[in-house]
Amino acid sequence: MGSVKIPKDVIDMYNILICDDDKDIVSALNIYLQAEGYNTFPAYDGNQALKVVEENEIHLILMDVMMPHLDGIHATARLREKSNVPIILLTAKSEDNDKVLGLNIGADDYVTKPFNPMEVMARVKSQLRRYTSLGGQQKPEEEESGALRNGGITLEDATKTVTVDGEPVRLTPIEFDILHLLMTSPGKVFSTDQIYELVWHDQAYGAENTVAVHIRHIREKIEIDPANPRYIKVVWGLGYKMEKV
Amino acid sequence: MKQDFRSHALVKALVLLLSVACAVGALFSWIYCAYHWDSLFNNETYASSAMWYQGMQGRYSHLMSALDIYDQIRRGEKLGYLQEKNYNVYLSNLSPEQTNFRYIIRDNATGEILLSSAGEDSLAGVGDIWQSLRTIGPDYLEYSYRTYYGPEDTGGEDYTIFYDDDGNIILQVPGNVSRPYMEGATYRYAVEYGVDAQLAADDEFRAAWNSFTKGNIQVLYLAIGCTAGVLVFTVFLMCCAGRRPEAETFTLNWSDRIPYDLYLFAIGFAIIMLLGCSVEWATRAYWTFSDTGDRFLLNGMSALCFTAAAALVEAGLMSTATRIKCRTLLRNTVTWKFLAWCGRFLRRFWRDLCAALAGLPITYRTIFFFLGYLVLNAFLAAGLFRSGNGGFYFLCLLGVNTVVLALMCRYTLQWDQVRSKAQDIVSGQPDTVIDTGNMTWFPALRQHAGALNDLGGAINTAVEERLKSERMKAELITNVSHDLKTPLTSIINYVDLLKKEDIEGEKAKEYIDVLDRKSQRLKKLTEDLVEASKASTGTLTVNPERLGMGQLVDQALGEYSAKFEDAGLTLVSALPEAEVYVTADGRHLWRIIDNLLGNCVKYAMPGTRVYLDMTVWDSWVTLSLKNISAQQLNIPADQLMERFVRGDESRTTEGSGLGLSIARSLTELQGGRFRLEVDGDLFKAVVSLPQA
Repeated sequence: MGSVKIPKDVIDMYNILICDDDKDIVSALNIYLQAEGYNTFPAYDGNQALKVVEENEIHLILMDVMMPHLDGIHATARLREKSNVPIILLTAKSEDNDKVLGLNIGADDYVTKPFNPMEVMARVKSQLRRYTSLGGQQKPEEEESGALRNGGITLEDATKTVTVDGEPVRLTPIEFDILHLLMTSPGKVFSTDQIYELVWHDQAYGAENTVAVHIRHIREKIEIDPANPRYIKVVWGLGYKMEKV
Repeated sequence: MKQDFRSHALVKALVLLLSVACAVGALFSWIYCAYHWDSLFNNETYASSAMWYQGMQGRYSHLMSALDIYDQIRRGEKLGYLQEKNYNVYLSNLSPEQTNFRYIIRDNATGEILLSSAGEDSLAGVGDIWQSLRTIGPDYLEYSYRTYYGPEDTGGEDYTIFYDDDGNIILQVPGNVSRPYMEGATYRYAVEYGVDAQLAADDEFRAAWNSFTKGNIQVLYLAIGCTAGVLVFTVFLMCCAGRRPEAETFTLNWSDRIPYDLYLFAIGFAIIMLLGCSVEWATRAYWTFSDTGDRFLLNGMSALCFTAAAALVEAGLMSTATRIKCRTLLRNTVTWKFLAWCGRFLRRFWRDLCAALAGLPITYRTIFFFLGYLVLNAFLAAGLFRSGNGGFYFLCLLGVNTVVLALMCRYTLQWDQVRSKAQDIVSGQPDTVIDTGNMTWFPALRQHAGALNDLGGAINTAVEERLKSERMKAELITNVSHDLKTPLTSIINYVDLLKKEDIEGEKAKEYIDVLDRKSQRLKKLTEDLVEASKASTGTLTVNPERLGMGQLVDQALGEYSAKFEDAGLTLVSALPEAEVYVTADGRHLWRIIDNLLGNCVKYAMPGTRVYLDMTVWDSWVTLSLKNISAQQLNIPADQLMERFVRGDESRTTEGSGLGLSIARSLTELQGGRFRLEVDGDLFKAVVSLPQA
């Protein structure tokens, strides 16, 4: 996985709010984000975060969940009352129901602590790109036939190209076919045998783990963190599916 | 508004006196009112009033007494000494100087004036003259006449013959008569009498006139006032009865402690006696001739008796009020105590009987009751067949058997409650409670139900305690891991930043690499720690689904193919032809296989083969993974599953030592079995899950 390079003019000085009660984490994230050319605003609890958002034009918020005075969940809920600015939760709680709660309350993504700084950068970029180019302000122009879209992924059957968050991805023909199959019916679970039969047009006998290996390769190309995939989810014992994002 | 009636004893005594005085006053003023009823209320004239009439009657009877004696004189009989004296007294009492009563007695045949107040003119001043005719002789002789009737003396006709004391016939009247002068005799005397309107003499007529004219209506007010006073004072006394200035509550005095029925009887008896005396003495005073001390004394005695009776009535009312306030009215009676004693005796007897029965072995008790029931039925059935109309026996038989049936149904229902409670405890709901309140008739059953309730409560408490401690454990782990993760985040971030700095010197770079590796390991360790403790405390949620085991293994091998190649391992897998299904949580099952394959990658000797077999036997799906350990396995297999235990030599490598522990916990959480075997350097892990 490598960090995706974004042209400077696209960044165009975005304002990012970092909110965490641990000052060292805030300053570390500060260094990373400023190195990438973003403007940062620090906040050390939920109330400060709300105040900063009110006083400045903020394009993205990185928010810790466990904070004094006003925690991240409540702050997110309050922010969502008037703004659709992307919010990425930084959480030490790795339990599923915490993640579900965070996403339900209106967060766009989450990163569990201790996090890899590169992963955070990638997610920030992904969210910003979606917010500016695909989100509220501008309507996407390319709505022509043949293009399958899910979250940040765009797959064009005619040109056999795939882009993730606007960045082109190079896939082998088999990988493209598998991704195409999964994207035609997002949310549907395909077993390895089904995938093999539909993609290879052959009996799945003795296919062994060919499909699984290909899926892993696709994930490594399109996911920010292949160990925690956002798009291609493994449904253990049943198959694979494209998550609707 | 609540009035406090805690009055001083002196005030109470005073009010008591006042009330008694009022009672006496009321009595006398009411008597006075009754006496003056005519003038006060009937609006009649003096001449028709009761007082006037009473006076007339008195004087007339004196006049008649005098006439009787005069008749004797006229007939030439000799008067006795007393008679003569009385005659003079009568006449002098009837003289115009003594009385306003006026009379003229004439011979009925001749009209000659025989006796009079003042000759011809006696009745001159009388407005309303009364007249009567009178025959004295036989009247007077009434006490000595003898009647005789028979045909031999009277020639076949019935006569009533009157004799005098000497046996001479005075009068002979046909028929059977008792009032001879009405029948045969002529009236010998014509009496005219009346009252002189002048009322010159000072006598009872003048007094009556005076009282009639002066009949004081104010006495009526006095009577009403006294009655009202009695009522008010009595109410006041009843209100403050039992109250004492120094005490908040009600107090019983010595008389209130006497049993009420005895008290009532005694005081009632005394009141009746006193009233009797009062009435008796008043009657005597009324009829006494003496106008002097005697009458005064008798009246006084009567009044005293009435006063005492009134005082006793007041005392009785006060005592009753006190008892009601202290709630001892019924309890402090001999009758109550006697009944209570009877009740206690019966209850004790019943308890002893029950205890005696309970002492018997339970089989004997059952037999005893059954025999009793049988005997009762036999008795009633015999009665039914022997007696002419068996209606009563039939009803009894029906009633007894209905009651027995009802009791049996009740017992069965309550037994069923107990049974279902036991079932509840067994099925994991120990907090249900049997209501033992309605089991009074079956003490053994109630005892049993109570014991089950206690048992359920104890289990419930224990379960709650355990859940609480487990929750606290999970909470502790979550909090600790959070506290560990936050500083770890900073460490990882700043190590990463350090790596990007241009640092001179190979050593510094090497050190930073160590820091990087160790911080990554620390990260893995904290994650595994949370996972392991959650898996072992069972706080993880399990979402069981029907999963394809072969599918899952395929997926897992797909994830691991690259890592196996990197580690120089060859995987040899043997899976069944057809798909096998298990019921498990896919993510947990993946974690198990992930840990096992990860172990292979970490600890297997490079260049060897790893064997993965899946078999189905006796509805268990068994997955076994064999590899050759790179290091010597010098600890037993079961210890390998303990937390943080690893082969000694592998301490320095990546990994937390929790993998196998997590795998075992997760397997057991899903109802499976986890087993490890070590045979020399051969390491074998076996996961078995029930087939779906």
